Amino acid sequence: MSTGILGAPAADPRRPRLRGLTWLIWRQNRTAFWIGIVAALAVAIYAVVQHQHITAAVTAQHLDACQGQETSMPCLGRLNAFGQHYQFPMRRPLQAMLLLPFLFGMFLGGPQLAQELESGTYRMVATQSVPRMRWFAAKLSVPLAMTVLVSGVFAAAMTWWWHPAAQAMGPLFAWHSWYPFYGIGPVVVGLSVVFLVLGTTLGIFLRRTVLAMGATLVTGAGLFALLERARPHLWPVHTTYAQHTVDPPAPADAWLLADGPLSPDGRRVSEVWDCYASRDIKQCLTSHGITGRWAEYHPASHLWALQWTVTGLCLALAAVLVALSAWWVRGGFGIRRRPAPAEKR
Amino acid sequence: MTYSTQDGQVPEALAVEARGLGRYYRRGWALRDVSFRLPAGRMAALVGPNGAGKTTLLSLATHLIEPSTGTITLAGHHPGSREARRSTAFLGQQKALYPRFRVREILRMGQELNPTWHQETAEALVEGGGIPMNARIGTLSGGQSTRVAFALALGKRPRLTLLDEPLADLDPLVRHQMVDTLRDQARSDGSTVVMSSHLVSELEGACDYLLLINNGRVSLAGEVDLLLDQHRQVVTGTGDRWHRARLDGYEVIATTSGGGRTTSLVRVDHGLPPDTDHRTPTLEELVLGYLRTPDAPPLFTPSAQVTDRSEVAA
Repeated sequence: MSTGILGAPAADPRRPRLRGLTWLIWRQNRTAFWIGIVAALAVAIYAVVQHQHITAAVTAQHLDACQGQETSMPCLGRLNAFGQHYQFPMRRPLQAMLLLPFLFGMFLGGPQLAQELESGTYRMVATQSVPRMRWFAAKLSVPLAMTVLVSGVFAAAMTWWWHPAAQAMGPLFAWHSWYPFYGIGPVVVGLSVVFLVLGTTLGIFLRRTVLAMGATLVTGAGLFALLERARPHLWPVHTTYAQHTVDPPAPADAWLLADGPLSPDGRRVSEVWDCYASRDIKQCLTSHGITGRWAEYHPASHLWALQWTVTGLCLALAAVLVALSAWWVRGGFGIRRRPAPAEKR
Repeated sequence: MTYSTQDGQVPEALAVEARGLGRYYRRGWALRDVSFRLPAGRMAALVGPNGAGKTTLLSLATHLIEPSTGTITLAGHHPGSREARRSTAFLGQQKALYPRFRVREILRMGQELNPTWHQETAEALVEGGGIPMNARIGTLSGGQSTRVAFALALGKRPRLTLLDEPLADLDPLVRHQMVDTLRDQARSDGSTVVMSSHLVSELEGACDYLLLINNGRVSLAGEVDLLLDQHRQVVTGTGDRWHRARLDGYEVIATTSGGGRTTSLVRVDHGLPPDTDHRTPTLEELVLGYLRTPDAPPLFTPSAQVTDRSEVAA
């Protein structure tokens, strides 16, 4: 190769160079990849610094002592002040993490194949020596690897930032609401992966870049809505029954899904709402045959079980979408094969 | 197929062979029961009006689509096979390249994706057009980016080069250069070139083989000089009836009148018509004659005919 004319640097044997399809797909997505890498690193550095601040504050303010009694009087005040300072600023970033999968799906996944099909570059790349299915595999796997890497760094960073504050604040920082749930842990990676694949799949079928991006936005939002509805049921709940109480028999930091009154013989009965307005609630309830309460909830320990289940679901859906795309590409995008019509001669 | 087969012909190596090739789309047949052979080492013109099936034929040859009926093989290989993929280059009608890539990167792509890549060939083509290696594709003119697409196709050192309307957006000078480049390459290493066009004039003199395709069927196939030799333009100044009487017994492909003259394209497989003013047609006249009469009986020279192997054996 005459590198002089090309002006390309002579191959440095120590520096690994990307080769073949990997190089091509990297080159095509270079800008997006660098943006992702830089953003992930920035968030990671910020998270490390914040983690240091929070753990230092927890030690300095002796918040460890409040563990398990966060809602008791002196602790509540101290933790509220702590929360104002450390939990409040992470609220928006945790919410913004919901956008991350959309970014991967719309800007990396959607155009990935749709643009090739729309502009006709597909015909150019498909007639090189490299087999078409290998090109397709690279077209999926290189962005997929980048998505896992970037979203993984994001997830680790946000978890690192969130964890000490959540531990200090216990029930005052709900773990089960949509944030922080979708902003931390493996779910971030699972969602990013499935959104990316959703984008590529829609791109293959729609063959239009803008259309694929829009469709990814809409179906992605639908997927989120479905997940949010299914989420409480993705892991077996704890059910408890307790007599001689008017409070749900669940820990303070639990994700309470349902609770209700209990009769003396342990049957679930319906509420008598009038009693809650009476002077002696307990007395009133007892007179209506209600002596206890039942509760269905996820304890805080279920956070990671739920996270991994959602992640598993996302990855399974991604696998189905990849299989569907591979089948469609193998068949030539539905246009390569067309049988002759049955006709009389 | 009225051409008589000559005896003792050495079978030539085949670049392309189609047998009963057909392709159906939702709107109908784009290509219907097409059989022909293209010997290796030729520079072939694939000519036909828009929508005749040229792009369909080239897409079948590059395995972008698959046939509904019949087969097409490239040097005996299935178009999707490793051998065919490696030895065939394709330049599509859109000549689409990645607009954000630099010229250098397009050539690197050719190198990364093709084991037979020859960097000097590609660089020479690009530099011949004075295109800087660092320029982005999106900033090039139509002709310049076509040149880069040529470089990507020819840098592969293909045994068979398929070009779909390659010259449409080139100025006449560059058009000449490109045709010369293609011909030089075909001559130097015996590779085959198939160039499609709806303009015959741009292929005249460049190609030595013709595939005329109309309404999804091949109506002329063979060496250009042999095909021309089989036809005459018969010009008469007088009335239509007399003209027709003179050509009785000849296959008249098409007749045009104008300026008090009647011109007929006549097939002359058995001697020339007597007492007439006739001359060998130009390629353009030949093609136009057959395009005017889509149902004219097709003509294949021996090298273009598909002979059944069992028949040959018997």
